Amino acid sequence: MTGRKANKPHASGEVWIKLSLPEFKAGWLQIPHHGTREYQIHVVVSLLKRWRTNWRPEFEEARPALVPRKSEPPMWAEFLLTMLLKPSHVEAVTGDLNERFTDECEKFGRLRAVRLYWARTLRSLWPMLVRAIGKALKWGAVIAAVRRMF
Amino acid sequence: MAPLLQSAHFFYKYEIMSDTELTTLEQHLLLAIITLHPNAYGVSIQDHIKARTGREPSTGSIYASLDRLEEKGFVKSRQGEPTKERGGKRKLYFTITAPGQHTLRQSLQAIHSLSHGLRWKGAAV
Repeated sequence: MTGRKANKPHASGEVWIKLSLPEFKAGWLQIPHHGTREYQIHVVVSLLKRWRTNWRPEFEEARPALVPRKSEPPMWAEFLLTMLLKPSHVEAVTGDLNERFTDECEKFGRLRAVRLYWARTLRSLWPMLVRAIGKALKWGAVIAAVRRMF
Repeated sequence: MAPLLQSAHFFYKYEIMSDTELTTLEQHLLLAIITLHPNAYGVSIQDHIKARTGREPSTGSIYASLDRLEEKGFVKSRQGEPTKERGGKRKLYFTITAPGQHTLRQSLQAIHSLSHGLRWKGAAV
């Protein structure tokens, strides 16, 4: 167990949290920035167990709160969707992708969830673009036909 | 006169004829909307289609098709409640309309009557 005084993440990306559990001494705890959320929880719990010998089962309930939730979807993917989708569908489509992202963050970890979010975004843009291009071409053909008449 | 006829044919092909026909994905979407009523929104529709057919249509293709169906008057949409998991974004719930049900029934009946008495090549009878 190592301690740290500064209340901010380290430059390398590792996360430090301040303990505020009952019956625990106030202190700082290092959480690995790699691995899935389950792995991070496992590391935190094993560190806590090593730190205090009187570990009780009710402390298990506090585990999820220890790990910071970094469930922000990739900003650029969301921006791309906002720019290219039909305005009435932007909220619904990004909301659906965010819902999947939240689930996948918990299941697979943030890194894989971000990759899946990008894959879904790119897969989603194509049909929407095809529809938009099709509509534009349709009206373009009609306008061209009318112009040819006069 | 020819350009006028051409544009009339174009409108017939894409605006009138397509109003009475459904693609496979549109059939799947309408069936999922009926099954999931009143909780049919993007994620639940996608999960339902994946569970029943094994195919996972993309979110974009689902919304593009639902947009087309809404333009034809086959489905109606209403906005739902924002949730934390969705980053505060609201859901868009879909329900099927009477013309939508009628068209879907016709489309399924057409497939049923076409496949009636069909003998699969190589299959044991």
